[in-house]
Amino acid sequence: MIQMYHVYMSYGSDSPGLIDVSLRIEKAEFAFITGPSGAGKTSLLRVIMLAERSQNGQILLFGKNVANIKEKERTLFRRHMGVVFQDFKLLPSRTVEQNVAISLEVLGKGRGEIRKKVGEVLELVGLEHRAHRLPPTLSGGEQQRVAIARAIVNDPQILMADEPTGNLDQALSEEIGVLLNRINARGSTVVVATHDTAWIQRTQHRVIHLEKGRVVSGGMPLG
Amino acid sequence: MSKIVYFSMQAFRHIRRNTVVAGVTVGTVAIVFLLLCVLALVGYNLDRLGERLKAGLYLVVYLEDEATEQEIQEIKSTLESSEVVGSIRFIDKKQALEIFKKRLGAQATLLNEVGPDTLPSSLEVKLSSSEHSTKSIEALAQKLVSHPGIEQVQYGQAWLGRFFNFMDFSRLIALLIGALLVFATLMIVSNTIRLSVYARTDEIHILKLVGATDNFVKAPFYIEGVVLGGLGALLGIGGAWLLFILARPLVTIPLGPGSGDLNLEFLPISSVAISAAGGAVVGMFGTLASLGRHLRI
Ligand SMILES: Nc1ncnc2c1ncn2[C@@H]1O[C@H](COP(=O)(O)OP(=O)(O)OP(=O)(O)O)[C@@H](O)[C@H]1O
Ligand SMILES: [Mg+2]
Repeated sequence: MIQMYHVYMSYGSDSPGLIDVSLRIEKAEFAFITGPSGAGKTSLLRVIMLAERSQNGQILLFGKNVANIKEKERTLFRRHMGVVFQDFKLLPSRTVEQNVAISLEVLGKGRGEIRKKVGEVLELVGLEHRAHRLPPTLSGGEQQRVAIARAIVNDPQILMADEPTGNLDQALSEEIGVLLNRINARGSTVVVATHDTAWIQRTQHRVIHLEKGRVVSGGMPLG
Repeated sequence: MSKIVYFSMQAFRHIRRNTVVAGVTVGTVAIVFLLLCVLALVGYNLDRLGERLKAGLYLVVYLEDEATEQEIQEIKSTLESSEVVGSIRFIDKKQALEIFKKRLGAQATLLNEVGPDTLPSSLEVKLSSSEHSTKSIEALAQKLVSHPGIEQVQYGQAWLGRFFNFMDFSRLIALLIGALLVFATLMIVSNTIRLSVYARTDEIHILKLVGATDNFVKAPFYIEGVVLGGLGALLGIGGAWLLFILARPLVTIPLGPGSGDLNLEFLPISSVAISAAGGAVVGMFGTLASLGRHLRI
């Protein structure tokens, strides 16, 4: 599903983001990316979501090389990847329902289909009763679940989350963990960058450990 | 179709979100288009005045009292050989006095004591069409002056040549001013759209992350630009029309006896339509100027 071979990425000469990163994440796998602050977790996710270009090395998504693809193709790849951020990135002036609907609107889906899918996914994340609320009136855990709903409503093959529990307390974090497991169980590949060692230890998922831009362990699938 | 509705809804959401900036933009565009329309209105009516004056152009060849029949014939044939000339009428001394009396109207009694020999006989020349330039008429007049038997050649409105030169010059200046004003509008709209884009950086990032194409993100901004530009242009044209309604009764230009008056006329509907469409096009290019590299994530 995701393959990287000797990938280098830097934000300028003094700020290397990724150094010689090789890794493989299989279809329907759940993988954690961890490591100290500044290790390159966010950088790695941004390279995979095609928001950042690598300078060197090969990256294959869904078996296709994305090293030198055009903007138009990036857009098409992004439609198969859902992304969740630590700070939710919800639009405060749109309702929960409208925030989730964005992912389908950009695909040009019809109104009826959008309404149906948004309803289903809000049910999945347990927020059907919040559909018409504005994000700022929700708790942090609820906002993060809206962000997850937005990321999965178009049935992406990969769900990526960058510190999805970073702003949440223990109970809410566990809730999000359960939800991501459920999404993984439905067949999506899930990649989570996190500092949350408690969460990592609660699960049996693979852990890719980064330090100073390099993969120090867990780059290849177990077994 | 549903996409157009969606994009328009987004565009109106943008405008509603920032009514002050949108209002100021529409107002400024309106003022620019008002100026443009007034400029065009003045030019258009001066053109009409020019046409009317040209149509009234004529040439009068005053004959010497001693002119012989043969000299008069020669003058006539010179005139007839010129393509500028339409018709020639000989007016003898008696007729000249009659015409003069008629023009004086109530004051005609002043001429009671005047003898029939006072006014010279003349050849009154009507031009073949109003298309001739004042230069070719002037050339004909120059050619005639040297003829024997002619006392004086008068061509009505000799200043018309200068009028048309002035008009040509003004047209050029107006075009320059117009171009500058249009460029200014473009910059104004462009700036507004840029603000609108900055205000939506988060939204644009999110749209791009969930797989929106550039065109999907840009379309509402284009609609916003077109609406602001078009609305401003319409308001400006409306303002110019109001000014026109107010000014019309105050301005009538007498064209002299027999030619009636010239009343102001508004721009033809085609020009109005072109101006309104022009506002929309300016809005579109304003958007084009401000978008482009803003949409990377
Ligand atoms: N936009 C940027 N411009 C320049 N340098 C950057 C940028 N983003 C990240 N970096 C640098 O790249 C390195 C890796 O950063 P990254 O954000 O990937 O780390 P991280 O593992 O996500 O850290 P954290 O746990 O704090 O989120 C850091 O040294 C950081 O300073
Ligand atoms: Mg990070």
